[in-house]
Amino acid sequence: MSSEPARRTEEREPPAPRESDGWALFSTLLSGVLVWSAIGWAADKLLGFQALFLPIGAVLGMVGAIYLIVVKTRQV
Amino acid sequence: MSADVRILAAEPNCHLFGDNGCGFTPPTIGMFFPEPWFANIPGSTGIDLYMVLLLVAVGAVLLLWSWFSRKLSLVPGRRQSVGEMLVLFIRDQITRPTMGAKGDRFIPFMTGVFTLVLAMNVTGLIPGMLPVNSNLAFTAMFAVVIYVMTIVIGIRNQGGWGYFRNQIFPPGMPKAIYVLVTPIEILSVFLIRPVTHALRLFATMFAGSLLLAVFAYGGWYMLNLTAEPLLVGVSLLFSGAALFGYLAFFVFEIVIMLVQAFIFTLLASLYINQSLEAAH
Repeated sequence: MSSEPARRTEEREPPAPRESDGWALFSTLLSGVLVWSAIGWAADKLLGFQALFLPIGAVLGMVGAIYLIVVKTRQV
Repeated sequence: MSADVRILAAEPNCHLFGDNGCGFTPPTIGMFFPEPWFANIPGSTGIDLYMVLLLVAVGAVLLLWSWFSRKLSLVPGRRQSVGEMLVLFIRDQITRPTMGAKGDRFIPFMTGVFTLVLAMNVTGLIPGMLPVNSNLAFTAMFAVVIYVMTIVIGIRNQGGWGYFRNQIFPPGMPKAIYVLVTPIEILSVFLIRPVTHALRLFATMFAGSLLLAVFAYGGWYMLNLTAEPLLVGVSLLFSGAALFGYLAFFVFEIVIMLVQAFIFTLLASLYINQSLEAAH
């Protein structure tokens, strides 16, 4: 009885995991926004702007994170 | 899970429509910092409720698996079948979907993680107790162990520089894009991932037990059987609604505890798989 589920599972081996898994995506999206917002904030401080590069960095980070997720998803 | 017993101890006769002059004191996060019972232990913050509940959870898990594994036979009895069903659940829902057949050697580890995380969540359902995972220290230790495992497994499978190169410079992208993507990957893999792994479980258990405490103490505060008859009726209505909310949320919290244990284990399996594979 306990061997039957094992055979059925082996016959229909599921695909490898994908970064598109919602829970794992979260850290990539968050990191993208955080790191490039921090870089944008640092650029604002260095160049004397109040809030120019911070929002640019946030958008760039989001774009980069989404690109990363799409590329990794296509690779699997 | 229950009301903050310190409030009950400090204001035992404080109820809605009462004439003591006291108001509603909501449960605070102080209930998650119980006073240690034995504080003078060198190198430690002492033995408090969390430590005792951790020992209870670990003891329960060890007893459970000892009981499942007693007198194992090729044709399983009912006890062995239940244990096998749990292991097959871990294999079919967690390790095989994330790691495939090569992840079968991690089934014992994942089974242990799942049952221990679940036991540490379920301690919050005992009247007067808290979920062990409502303290960040315990979820953080789980996440740290899994984080170290992913790095060690990654280095063993892909070589020292190979593992870090594949994590930081994901293959299959134009070289110019690495300027954009590499800082994201560094932060994501080496910082955000373990932090969110621990925080997710901690935050759900913390919020759930705080909500249950609010329902429980609110229901107790709103119950006043010594006021005028009309006010007693109103207080029974309010208290009944709080009791209903408490019971409904209690059932919901059981589901949340199961789901969070599953998600924690699933993510651990996912992260380990990303160390097993050279490219993803």
